[in-house]
Amino acid sequence: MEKVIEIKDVTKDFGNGRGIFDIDLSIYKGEMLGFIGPNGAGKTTTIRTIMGFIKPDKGSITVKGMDAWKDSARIKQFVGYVPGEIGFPDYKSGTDFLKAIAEFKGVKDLSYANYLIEKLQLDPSANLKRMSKGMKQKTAIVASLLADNDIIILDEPTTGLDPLMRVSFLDIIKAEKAKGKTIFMSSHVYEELEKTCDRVALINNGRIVDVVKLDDIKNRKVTDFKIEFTNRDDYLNFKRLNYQIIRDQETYNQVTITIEKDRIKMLFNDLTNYQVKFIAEIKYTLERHFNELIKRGEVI
Amino acid sequence: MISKPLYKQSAKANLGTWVFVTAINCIMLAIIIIVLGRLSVSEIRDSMADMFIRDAIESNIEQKSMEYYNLTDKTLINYEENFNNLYDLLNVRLNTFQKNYIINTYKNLLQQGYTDEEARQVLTNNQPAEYQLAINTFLNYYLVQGEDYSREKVSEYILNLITEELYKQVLETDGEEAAQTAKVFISVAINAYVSSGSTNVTEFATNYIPSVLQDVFHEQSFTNKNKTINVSDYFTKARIYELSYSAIVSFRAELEVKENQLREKYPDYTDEQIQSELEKQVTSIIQERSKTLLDSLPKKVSEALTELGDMEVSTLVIGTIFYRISGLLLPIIFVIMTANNLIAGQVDSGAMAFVLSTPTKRRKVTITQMSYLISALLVMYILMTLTSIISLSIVKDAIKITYIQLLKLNLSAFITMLAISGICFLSSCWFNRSKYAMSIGGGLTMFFLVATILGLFGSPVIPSAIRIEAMRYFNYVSIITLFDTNSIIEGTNNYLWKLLILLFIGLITYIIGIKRFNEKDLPL
Repeated sequence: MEKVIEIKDVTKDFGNGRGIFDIDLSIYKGEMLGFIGPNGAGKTTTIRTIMGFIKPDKGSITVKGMDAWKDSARIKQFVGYVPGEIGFPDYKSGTDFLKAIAEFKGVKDLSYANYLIEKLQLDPSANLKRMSKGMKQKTAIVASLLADNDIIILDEPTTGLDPLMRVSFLDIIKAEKAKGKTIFMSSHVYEELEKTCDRVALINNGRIVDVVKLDDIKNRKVTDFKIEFTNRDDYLNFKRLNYQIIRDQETYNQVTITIEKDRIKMLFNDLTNYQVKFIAEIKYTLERHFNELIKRGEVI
Repeated sequence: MISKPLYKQSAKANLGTWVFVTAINCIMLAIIIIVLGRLSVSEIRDSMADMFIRDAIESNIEQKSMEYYNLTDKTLINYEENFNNLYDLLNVRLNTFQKNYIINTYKNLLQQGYTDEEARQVLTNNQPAEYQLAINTFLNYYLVQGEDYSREKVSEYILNLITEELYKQVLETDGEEAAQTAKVFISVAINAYVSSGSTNVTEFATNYIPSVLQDVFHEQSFTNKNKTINVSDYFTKARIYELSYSAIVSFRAELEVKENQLREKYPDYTDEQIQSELEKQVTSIIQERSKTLLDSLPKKVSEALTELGDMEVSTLVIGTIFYRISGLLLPIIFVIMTANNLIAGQVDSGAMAFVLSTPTKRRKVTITQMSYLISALLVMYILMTLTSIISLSIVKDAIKITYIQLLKLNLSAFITMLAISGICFLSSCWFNRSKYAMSIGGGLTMFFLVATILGLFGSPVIPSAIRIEAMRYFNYVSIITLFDTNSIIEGTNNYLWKLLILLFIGLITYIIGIKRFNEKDLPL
């Protein structure tokens, strides 16, 4: 598959352990890559190096084969960017601003912009300075998408949007993705990445901890169940069966087991012999995946 | 190399400040020029200058009166004495026989081949000294005037002798022209004395000199600072006469006092000795009595007053006070604000992210913003130039400043602003935070302006009476000092190389700013 953005061994050290270190990350054509990590982990710095706003200390970043620092301006022909912190240039209204951005980008046909405005229910005629945070966010999203670029880079685009708008926004992003665009989006909300991304990269303390395919998480061969028994004998007897117990809470007569999906039927058959107080499947989410990774990382 | 939409954005965003600053500056400039032209702000100064001229003429009249009086008085006394002696000799002491004897003998001797000298020797041989002198004096007279011994002829003879002697004396000290003038003056004076029938020389001179000088001075004119000044504009004939007369009278009084003092001091001196002692003091007495007001003041005070009288208020106010200080203040504020808005402000707020996430190169951004800043200043100063020229055409000659000087002032002010804007622009390109960009670029620029204001009090354009020399050191730490309004007003070319330095500062700071912005990390 064609690598649209390729980050190779990139380090940008701001000192005091801050910055990004040895980042290796590729984004393939037509793919949507999520980028998640706690505050200060290096998400924005990574995005800024891709945008050519920051020059890496070492390593290389290419976008469509062009150097992100040297060919920064040329790359922008293919990129739409929503910055993490939004500040607008001095324009009176949203409309003025959007028109100017269209002029900057050489876009003459504003019909796509109008579609986005409608979809996000934005009133662009409002005074730019008096806009609410959500309005500003929407305006910024329209500004970065209106040129219909092949690559879209979004730095926490959903902050400030109310839940309904978040859905509208994600719809737009999904539609963009369906058009075959390459999307790189950072966020600290696991669910929205889970719903939209093909892959998600986790960054912590400036280093990529893991990159997972969401398919692998959704289609795991094993699943976890938490089972509580009414009496202690049943609990003790069950434990003697050949199940892989990952958590054991004696005081509550509770066990958590992990089991291959094709053995679930066998489990239920076994359970008919015991008095079960409750049984619950514990979903394996991205958040859980990463939390476990980070926990393990801390132990190491 | 210029991004049209970015230029439009900058122009729109900063239009308000620009219009405000330009309008206020133009209005201030127009008011200053028109006020200076219309109201006589230099009235006090003018009357001072007037007073100095009046004072100078007055002391000149007094001096000349005393000098001429002294000369006339002495010459007339001399004349009187010589005339009386000679007339007495010709008509009383020598009788007709003696005169004829001397003449005939002298003629015979010359016919026998004796020279004039030898003939005189024969005639005066073995005679007492008194006779020798009388015979020689008589012969001298006879050789010029013949055998006519009337008062008129004798007077004519003495007059000639005296004027010739005076001519020689003055020729030695003051040259041909003065000698001729003195000769004519004295012969006229003696003739007037003779024809007046007066018997008191001193009284005659006291009245005669003022009446002559009143006509001479009344027609006199001289140039002062390229202006022709007629004495008749300041003094009437009667006033000149009065001045002259009272100067002579008090001069005479002083001479009398001095003479009495000398007599007391040297009781055994003869009259002649006393007179020669007195003569030594005459020059200094005249000088002392004809001091001008400025001469009578302490040197520093009189220098300060002269300077104040010479000061050109309008050029000082327009050139130094307006173009170099108050007229720079608002453009500097505009530049500090705008330079910050153009780069650092947009990086700080994140607005630059939108521009730089379009296919616009950083270099293009900086060059566009630079072009906006420079063109905004250029248009501002073109409008100020027009304002100044129109204002000057309204008041015209009332102000001593030319259109060329105004053009030079405006051009220099623009180039000064170019350098200042370069500094602010560099600061804006250097820092990512508005507050640093503003405080470094703006702070430095404001410091320059404040130093210029303080330095003004030590600069030579300020009258020495209120100048504080030590304050001039402030001029050495401000680049605005390179805007040499003084040189422009005085018409020298010193301002040119200083402008070149300013231009260079502007160029360098803009180039470094553009380079720095191209290379630095941006938090966008």
